[in-house]
Amino acid sequence: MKRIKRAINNFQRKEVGIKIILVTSASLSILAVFMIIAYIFRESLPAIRTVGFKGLFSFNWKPEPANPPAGSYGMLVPIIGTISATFWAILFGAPLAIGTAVYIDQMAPMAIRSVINRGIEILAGIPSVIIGWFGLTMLVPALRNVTATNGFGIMAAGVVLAVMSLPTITSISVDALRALPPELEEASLAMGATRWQTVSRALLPAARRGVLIAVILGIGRAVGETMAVQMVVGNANQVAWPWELFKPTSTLTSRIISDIGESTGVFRSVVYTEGLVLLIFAMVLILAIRMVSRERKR
Amino acid sequence: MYNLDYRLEVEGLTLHYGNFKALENISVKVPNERITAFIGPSGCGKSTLLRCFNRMNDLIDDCKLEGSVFLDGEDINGSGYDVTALRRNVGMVFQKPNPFPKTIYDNIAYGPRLNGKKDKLTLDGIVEESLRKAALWKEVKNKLREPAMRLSGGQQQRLCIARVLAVEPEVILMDEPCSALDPVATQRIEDLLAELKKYYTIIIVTHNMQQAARASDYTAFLMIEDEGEPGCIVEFGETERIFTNPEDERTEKYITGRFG
Amino acid sequence: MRAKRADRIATVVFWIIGLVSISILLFITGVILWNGLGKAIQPSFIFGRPKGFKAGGGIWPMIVSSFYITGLALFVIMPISILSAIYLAEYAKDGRFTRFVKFCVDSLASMPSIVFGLFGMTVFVILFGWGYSLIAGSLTVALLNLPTVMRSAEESLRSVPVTYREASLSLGASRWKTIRKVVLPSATPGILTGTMLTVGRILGESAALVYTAGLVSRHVPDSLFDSAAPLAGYIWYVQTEAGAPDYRAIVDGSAALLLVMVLVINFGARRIGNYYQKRTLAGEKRV
Ligand SMILES: Nc1ncnc2c1ncn2[C@@H]1O[C@H](COP(=O)(O)OP(=O)(O)OP(=O)(O)O)[C@@H](O)[C@H]1O
Ligand SMILES: [Mg+2]
Repeated sequence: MKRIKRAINNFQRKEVGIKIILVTSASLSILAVFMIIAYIFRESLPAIRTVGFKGLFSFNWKPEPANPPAGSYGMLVPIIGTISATFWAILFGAPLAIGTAVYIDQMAPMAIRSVINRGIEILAGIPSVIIGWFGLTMLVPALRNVTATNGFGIMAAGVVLAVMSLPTITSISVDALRALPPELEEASLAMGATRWQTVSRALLPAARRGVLIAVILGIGRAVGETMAVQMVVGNANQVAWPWELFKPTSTLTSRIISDIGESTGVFRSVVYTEGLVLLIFAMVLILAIRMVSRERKR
Repeated sequence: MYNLDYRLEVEGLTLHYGNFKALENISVKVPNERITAFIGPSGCGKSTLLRCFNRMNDLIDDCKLEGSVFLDGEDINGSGYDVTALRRNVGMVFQKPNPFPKTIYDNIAYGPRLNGKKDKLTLDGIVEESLRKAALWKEVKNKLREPAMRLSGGQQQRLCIARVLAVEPEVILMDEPCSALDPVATQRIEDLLAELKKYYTIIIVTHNMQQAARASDYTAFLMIEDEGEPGCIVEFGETERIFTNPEDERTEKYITGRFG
Repeated sequence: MRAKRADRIATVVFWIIGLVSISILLFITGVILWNGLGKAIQPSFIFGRPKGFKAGGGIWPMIVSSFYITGLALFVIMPISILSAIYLAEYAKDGRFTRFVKFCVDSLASMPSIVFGLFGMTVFVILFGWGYSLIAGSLTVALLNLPTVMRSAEESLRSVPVTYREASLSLGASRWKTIRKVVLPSATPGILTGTMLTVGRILGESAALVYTAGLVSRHVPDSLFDSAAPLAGYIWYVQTEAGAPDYRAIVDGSAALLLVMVLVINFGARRIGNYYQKRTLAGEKRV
């Protein structure tokens, strides 16, 4: 009797021990998120205190690396730059990507569908420096030739970012279309709908939330992309609205990567504040996705 | 043989899925404005045959067929035959109710809209008429704008029937339309079938012998000789005769086994 | 008839869109390989050291650093992500804590890699005093990739049919035994695919690494605290500095080499995934 009890006790103790280990590892993610937010915020504090919200959200950008507190550090140029570049990235990228997803799931010959899909998934891994290098050596010179500008700017960044978010949006949209029950397609075709009518009236509406999530993730990818953008956006300190396509400007990420190496004091703290703005962008996107997918459950 | 018009005729149909022969040398004439039931053991090719009538097998990549299927004397597999027109003429109700994730109204209006009907009054009329014919109007007339997915299984299936009726087909194919439903919902669909056969030619696949016996006018018994063999039609005739006095002993075995 | 014409037009349009997308990606791949492959296969380039402002430098320390960082990061990621995934897929009930963990994993996954770079620099490089180092870079990309590996592991665990678990439990195995002997082995190919994809992602990562692992390494790192510039970051650094007279050739060659490595790894990952889907999940549809 006693032996059995002890065995059960041992057994339970082991299961409890395992559970503690598992919960601890799962908690590490919580710790990581909080540490990241806390440190980025802490490092931004000096800038928020000394430059102030008004100074940070202005167009004034005159850093003084030798005497940081004397400079002015407005972030509006890179914030608008990020928005402008992302705007074009999604305007070019999303229709192309969703169209490609429809092509892969519905229009391509059966025999090559999975080959194309797999190909796009593999090419999704092209590192961003490489796309940036391609942009710098092929795209920017091409734009320079046709526009009589130096080729750097929102247009170049938008195209590069569109290419970067293309595979992301495509493969998530394909997943959304594939997740639809096949009965939906059959029902529509059986009523005499053409392929296009089926896609546009039954399948895309049914998959719209998945496709929307794909686009939001694409936006996230574009906003946070660093190296490729830094290589083609021009890194100039002048505001470029979405319609100023060929004006060299900066984005939040390009500013961060350019300045982080050699800034000190408040200047350095401003770099972290730019990181904080990126974090806030990311959180907004997460909440957007949550809202979209919560709606689905209803 | 029977003094009736045959709207659908199949002649020497053989069908392959890749290398697998699913149907062999099928010939059958489907009588007009009657209910014809396809019965037979699982995997004998009932669904496959049914899907030949509206060319749903086109969707399956490696599906090849020989022989011909005629609708009103025209070969539906002939070159230049309009598949979408065919599918509008030959509606289909599936085993599992498959409403679109749209409102009840939009589900019914889907077909008419495909054909370019946009006018609200016309659509309203079609929706009401189709729902009435499918004996669903009373239950849903106050919630036409609610998602169709919220209906019960039986209501969803009647909605799918209404959706087919809205396209004004001449033939309706039903693949085990009641297999996902309880006896009460099944009864309602059978009542509906009896009503519908006044205007439509209906082919129904069923595993339920009682249902075939009760609801159909003609019955075709399909079978496979053995695992991996193609399906073929063993016997076809008036339902009453098939069930009371089958000519082929395999039919008798199957029916009695099923009734027993 | 209108519908027919619309259908025909749509078909053509989607064919064009599909082909455009694929051609863009193939074109980029082609250009990079065309420009750089010649350089990339020269032994003196692959196995040489960088020469600063002089021509003829190689990239061996960067290649080795890339793999060291990848290996070390995986060493950190794998146990944490698999244990967390087991918790989420097998133990967690849908409570507040679970939902919060998931929210944090989602948040972590959505943060831009440059933010991880900032964090790694603040904490590992400066606060811990490790400087630009192998360990600082590895820990930073480990954090960056933790959520993706965790999610793919969780998904692989969830896709193991319930019947396997029931069978094992009904034979009297404990929960943990069931997981270790039945669930994990069935999920291994899926986890492996996720891991391979992560290897590709780490090899291509630059933003999180240039200011944690280092911009350039003159020699192969010989300790955890040695600077360990990865190839992807080095590509960015070389084109920014444009110091060496042959910097273009160096970038072209490095880019081609990196691209080949990443594509080969991704291809392998998909092959495993494909094989796995065909074998284990045949006919099984996940909800
Ligand atoms: N898409 C397909 N590809 C390959 N083989 C198929 C396909 N669909 C059906 N088959 C095969 O064709 C044969 C006939 O299938 P079918 O679905 O027509 O049978 P059924 O009589 O409707 O069966 P049940 O009563 O179970 O619905 C079966 O052996 C089946 O495995
Ligand atoms: Mg069937």
